Amino acid sequence: MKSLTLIAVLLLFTYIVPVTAQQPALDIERIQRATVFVMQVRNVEDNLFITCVSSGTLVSRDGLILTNAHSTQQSADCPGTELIIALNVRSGESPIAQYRAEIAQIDPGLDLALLRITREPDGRLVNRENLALPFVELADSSATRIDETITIVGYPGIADDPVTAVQGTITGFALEPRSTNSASWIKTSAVISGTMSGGGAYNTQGQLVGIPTTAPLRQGILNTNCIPIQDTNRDGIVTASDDCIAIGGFINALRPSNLARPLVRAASLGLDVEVMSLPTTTSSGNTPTISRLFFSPSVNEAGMPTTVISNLPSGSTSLYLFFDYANMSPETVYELRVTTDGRPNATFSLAPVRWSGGSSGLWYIGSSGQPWPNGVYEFTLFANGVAAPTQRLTIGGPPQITATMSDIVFGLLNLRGEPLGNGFVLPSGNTASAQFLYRNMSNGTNWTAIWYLDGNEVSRTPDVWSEGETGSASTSIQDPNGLRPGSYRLELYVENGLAATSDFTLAGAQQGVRPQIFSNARFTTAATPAEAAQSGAISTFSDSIPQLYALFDWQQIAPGTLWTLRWLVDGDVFYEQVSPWTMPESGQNFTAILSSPNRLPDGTYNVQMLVNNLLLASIEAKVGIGQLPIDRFARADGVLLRGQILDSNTRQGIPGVAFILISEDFSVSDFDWNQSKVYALAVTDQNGFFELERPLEYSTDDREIAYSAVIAADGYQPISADGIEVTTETENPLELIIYLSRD
Amino acid sequence: MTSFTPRLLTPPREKEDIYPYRRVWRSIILEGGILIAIAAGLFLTSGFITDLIPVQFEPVLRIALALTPLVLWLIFSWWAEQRVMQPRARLIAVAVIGALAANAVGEPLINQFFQVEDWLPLSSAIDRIVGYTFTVGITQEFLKYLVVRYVAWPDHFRIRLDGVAYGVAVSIGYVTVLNLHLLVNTPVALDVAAQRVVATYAIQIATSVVIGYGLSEVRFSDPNPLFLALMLALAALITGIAIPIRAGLTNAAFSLEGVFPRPLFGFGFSAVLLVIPIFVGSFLFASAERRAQEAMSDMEDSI
Amino acid sequence: MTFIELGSGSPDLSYRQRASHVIALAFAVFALVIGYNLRNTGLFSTTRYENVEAGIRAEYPRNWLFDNQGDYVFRVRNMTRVGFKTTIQVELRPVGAAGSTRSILDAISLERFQSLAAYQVINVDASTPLADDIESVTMAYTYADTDRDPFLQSIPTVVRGVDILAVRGGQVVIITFLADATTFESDYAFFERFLSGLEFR
Repeated sequence: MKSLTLIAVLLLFTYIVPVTAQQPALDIERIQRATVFVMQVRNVEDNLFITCVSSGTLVSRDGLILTNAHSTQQSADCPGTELIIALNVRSGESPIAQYRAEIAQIDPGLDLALLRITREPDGRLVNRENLALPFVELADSSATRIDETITIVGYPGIADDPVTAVQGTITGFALEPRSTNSASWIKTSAVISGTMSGGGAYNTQGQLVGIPTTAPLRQGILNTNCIPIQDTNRDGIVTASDDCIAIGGFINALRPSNLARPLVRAASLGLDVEVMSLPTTTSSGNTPTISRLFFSPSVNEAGMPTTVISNLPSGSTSLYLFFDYANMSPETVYELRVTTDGRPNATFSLAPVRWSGGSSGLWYIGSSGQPWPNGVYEFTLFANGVAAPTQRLTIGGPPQITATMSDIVFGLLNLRGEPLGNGFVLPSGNTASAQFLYRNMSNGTNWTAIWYLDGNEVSRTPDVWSEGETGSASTSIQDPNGLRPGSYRLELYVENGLAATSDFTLAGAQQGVRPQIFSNARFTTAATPAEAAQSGAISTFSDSIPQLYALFDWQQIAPGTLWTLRWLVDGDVFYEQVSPWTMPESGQNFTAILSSPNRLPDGTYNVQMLVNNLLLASIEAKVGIGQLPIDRFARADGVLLRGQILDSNTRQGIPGVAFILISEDFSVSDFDWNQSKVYALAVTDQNGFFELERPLEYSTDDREIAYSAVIAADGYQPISADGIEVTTETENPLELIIYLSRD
Repeated sequence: MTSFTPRLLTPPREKEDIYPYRRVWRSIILEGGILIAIAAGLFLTSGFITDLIPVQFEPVLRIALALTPLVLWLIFSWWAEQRVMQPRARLIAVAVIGALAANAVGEPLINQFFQVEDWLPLSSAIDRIVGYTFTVGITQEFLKYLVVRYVAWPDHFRIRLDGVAYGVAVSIGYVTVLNLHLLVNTPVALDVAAQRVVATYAIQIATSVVIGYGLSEVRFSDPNPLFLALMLALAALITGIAIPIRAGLTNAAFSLEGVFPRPLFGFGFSAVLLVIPIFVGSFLFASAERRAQEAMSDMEDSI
Repeated sequence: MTFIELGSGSPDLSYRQRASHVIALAFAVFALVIGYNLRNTGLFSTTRYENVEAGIRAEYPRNWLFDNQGDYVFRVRNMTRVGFKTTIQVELRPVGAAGSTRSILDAISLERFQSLAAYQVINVDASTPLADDIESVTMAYTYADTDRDPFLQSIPTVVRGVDILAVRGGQVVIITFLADATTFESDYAFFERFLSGLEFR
């Protein structure tokens, strides 16, 4: 009986313990080598002065570097014009300047930039095809979980400090609009210094999950840590009167890697999108303002608050702070400070970061799926160091029974009284109706519905409640001449307290239940935009083309309406821009041009137009074979093979010896000295050290990968071998000592 | 005063009485054995020696090692030669001219004309054997043959073993040049140098036995006219085989633990290469001598 | 024991003895000739390459790494060379009707000024005829090869190069030879053999 029990227990264990493939250990050395120090410099009379610094991470072998935008883009805070890249050449030592770089892709709001190594320090062009730099792969940051261990890698000081790895855990996620599939910020418990901004945070598989990000505030606004390191005023001494480098304070937030993917994709494919009449993203000069702070326990699919609350019961796991903003720009630095019972709460605070929401509108920052401990919370938002009024919320106790209005959904009533639109984007018409739910209402209670168009009140309907305690009700706005296209807002007040609010967009003509804003969307190719407007639609481009034009007509969309233009290749987004509409209400041939310095890579290209997350138009075209070429250097993981080749007579390194690793498909006997059969190549340095340009892929039970190698040098006996396999058990990096013998 | 010299009951052994020459095989065995012992000692203690002696003395040590075969030969062959009744007169001349030929002709021909380092190590095993035979092997053996042929043969060939003695002499000259090239021109590690010196010595001595045998046969027998060419070819072939085999044994195969040389294999091969030709050579010389004596006694009997 | 008493003169050699030496000498000379041929085969054996599209047929040194994945028709490199890998490359570029070889050379030099360290043209010579008596221009130059892995410690190598340009049917053929300056002269034999086997169709 005992043995039966034992067998049963063992069987149970075999059932509940999943058999997982062995994961490679975190290859911290490879990550550290892929972490670069980025210096923005200013050239003053042929002297280079450092203006801003940050960490960065190589994300491709040909020299694409993911880092922060604020320290690389020329601005008032960072006035430098050139970017110098220093590599972590030797572990434990300061980085060494090796290359110059240029900005390949940038999103100032997300504070992410993709730099491309272009030149040697002396100005010579770098042949990027010959670059074989260590790089890291991006993780799916949406798969990260609270309490997951992460390792943050970056440079903790200015220039002297070697690259450093800091371990921590994920403590939470901050959610913002327009990133519905993943968090806008990953919060961490790790203590990260300001110069590590732009570096990388890695999961246990060594994949990049986030970019530590903070934007140092300008000197004088706050007590910023700003260090002078060079004699910029040429007075012979380095003092506080010299230009300093702002290094910021602590970092507790990571930009998820998923937000960087479109930039990386566009940069690696060399794709640039030029859009007709995009608004400028620079600051208007007016003081940024933050107002109308309120809380909601959840948001709907359009990013609108479901209701408005002033307290939450114990055990709540979701909370959103909404606010209106104006005069903001990507250069605006905003910050959220949260206190719980008067004590600073780092978990829910957000260190100073760049603003990503455009110039004005409704915004939120919140969290979901994360427990909020009981207490009295105070939320204070700062824009460029100026605090907005603090908003207070109490969490704790049982759910309170108060009058509640929630879940506003809009519809345009047609002549038959049927609702049109998707709830938040409505076609043009005479009557817009809002349906909402209510609970715990009492007949006789005063309530008011206020409608706004583009920020101006257009209707106010004070009333006395007569619909009963719980149910669904509606209110509407009418205009016999037709409602004007634009951005509308409804606020519902109960006894003068805001109970619910939501925005919607009215645009386009009626076509079925959805508005038709964008029409006649098409792809074409031409030499100029004018020529493109005259060209017919093309859906298949058999040959590679230098430019791809996307054109469409539009109707009844008010200037200022936020809309989204999205480009995809093979189903993956590489460009997404949310911006206010700047063209007239109706027109033809809005043009977006996709181009590449070389020719566009083969692939299936899509352009999508959206308003309030509603897909309104989409077109597709195939270029070449309709599929992106396979990047055989895309994998970053594997075993790095390096070592030293020595003369067995002298025991000294032999410079200039080639180590050829033959692809898994061929053996030494098959190798006919053809580059196409070479998996990786290395040539020894002056001390005989070599390092293969690509990591060796792991051999598994499912897929055995056996390489062959040839080491041949004039005067020495060649060494060759077949069946070279590495597994997750193999030491990484794999260091080889190879003695070559003479005859 | 009358002196009394007792008469021996048994006459002195005829061999001792009539053999007025230095015993070549004994010298070779002594020299080879001592060289291997010195090299093995250096190989085992090179770590200590490198630590003990100042860096500036290392070149001196390497030169001393390069000259060791020559010194041993001078002691056990040349000096011993002076103490026998019938010394071989041209040993030094053969050795010196052999060294000069090696330095002036052999090494330039192999390294700069044939450029063997540029193509032979990368060839297949068979190609390497053929290649080394027809380049390094034939060059070295032909030069050594020419030196002995025109300095000592036929005038100074009085007995068959003169072929070995002069063959060894020319090889010592050649070996000395090769060793100096290796040890002076490149910073070879001491233990590796010891191993290389033995290897070079072994190959040269082995081939010198073959060349000596061929010249002696031509001098004392009346072999087929192709015999000498055949011996030259055999000597070249031994060189052609020995170089890649020794290198192959020394060189380890590739593995993920690294590729490390196996010097003991090289030592073992060199020792074997030294021992086998001595045994085979002594047997062949003895056989040839026996055949000659049988032929002579047959002739006397017929008279 | 067989022994011969040394006399005052050299002993008379028999016909067989003399024949043995003559045959040995003849054999040695013959063997050295074989060795020379083996050396030539080992050093200068070639692999045939034919590109119908480009109209080029060539014989490049055997066991040089062949590569046609770049912006050139093909490139071969001697990967066994210790140090800079001796390279032969054939490239085609379009040329306008008014384009001269001189203007092409200038364009090439301008590109190289941007990418090569210490690039310096040594001379331009219009005297190298190619196969089928195609007129060509030769440009000799040097530069410091600094193409390196930043994680290793390599010293730049002085490289000598030769470009041979020939205009052919709206295209210019650029045949490039690159070698370490210290081995350039000895390696040039490979290039000469390559040029002698180069055919245009």
